[in-house]
Amino acid sequence: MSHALFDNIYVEKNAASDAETVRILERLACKEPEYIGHYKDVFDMKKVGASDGRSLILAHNPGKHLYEGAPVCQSFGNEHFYYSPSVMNCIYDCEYCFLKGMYPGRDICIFTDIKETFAELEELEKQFPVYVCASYNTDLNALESITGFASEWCRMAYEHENISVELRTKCSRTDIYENLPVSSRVIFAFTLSPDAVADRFEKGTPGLEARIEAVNAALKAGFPVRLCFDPMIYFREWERSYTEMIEKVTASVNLKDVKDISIGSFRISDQYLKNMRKKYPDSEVIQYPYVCEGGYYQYPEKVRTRMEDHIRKLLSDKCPEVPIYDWK
Amino acid sequence: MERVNKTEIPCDLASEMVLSESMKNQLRQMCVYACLAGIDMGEIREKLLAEGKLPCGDKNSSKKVLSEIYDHVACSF
Repeated sequence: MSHALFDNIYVEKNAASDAETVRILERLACKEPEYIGHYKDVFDMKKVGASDGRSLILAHNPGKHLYEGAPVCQSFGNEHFYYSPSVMNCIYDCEYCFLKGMYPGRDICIFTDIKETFAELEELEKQFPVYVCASYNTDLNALESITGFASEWCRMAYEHENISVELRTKCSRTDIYENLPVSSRVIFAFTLSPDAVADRFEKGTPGLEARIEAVNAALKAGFPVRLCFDPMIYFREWERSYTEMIEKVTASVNLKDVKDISIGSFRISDQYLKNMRKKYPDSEVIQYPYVCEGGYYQYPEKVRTRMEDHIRKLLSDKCPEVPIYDWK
Repeated sequence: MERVNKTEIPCDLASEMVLSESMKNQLRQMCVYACLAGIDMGEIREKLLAEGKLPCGDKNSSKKVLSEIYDHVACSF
């Protein structure tokens, strides 16, 4: 059965009776999904053949529910840093996104056994404080109308003193924050990009102004907010574009209210980039001649330093007291 | 070591340098990106020719020129 967002909706047979599955199908007004044996029967495009369309798959996660953070991810000083792949793939179509190198296709797979993730997390938090990036392989805020997972993660952190959650997003929704349980352990991390980057490289994402409105909505509701100028993309007009963006952000957001800021130029694991170069031969951002250091492709140091120093200086000048984290 | 057939890389530069397989790949990637980013490889080549850096007779000088081309292509904005 098709839906405005998806060409087809598939449900793994063993996930069919999950409360989450039933709820999601209700939200999508989907009465007759197609039942499948395993999510990979659809998700793995190598098996079924590439297509431009996008399907939604509801399934159980047969693998790990929590992974330790990769070296290229910022831990923000948290010793026990994990991420959860409760949803695979994103409704946005960012040209540079590592998900394009990680997953075989664009279908969105929602693991409806999220309670298993929470159970695993509760075991971990008995041992040490856990910091979880819940929106690492997707944008949970953008999917909130379908999954309700952002709310569930917020509740999880609200109820457990040893669990902190980061929800990273480019979503411009301003209506979700006032209905969530406010906690200092739920950090909404907004990826902010110049409009030139959003227009050229982040297909389907809201523009800067709309993202800023969402930042202010989260701040107003009382949540800690992280501003992520990451990944920075190198292109002909990068300096002017990023300068104008910082001017706009500092004029519209009270930076003193922001928990912290993260800065990072684009980097990606070597295997993901190799996959993406085959898939996207016409992408300027993917075909850039990156240097490979320690298994990760990144801009040469000269470019990296210039870009990151530029934005760091602009931000430090405007608001020296806000902590700024680098990805290194 | 062999002189690169310029048809392997969409750029005259290839025939004027002595490149290993790995260097060929690097130059190929630079050419692909330059084309997508609107960077004129012909202009870079003209500059190197005018400075007497091209053509290169051996791998070592080709390495230096390749590095210079990289700076022009990857760090020019």
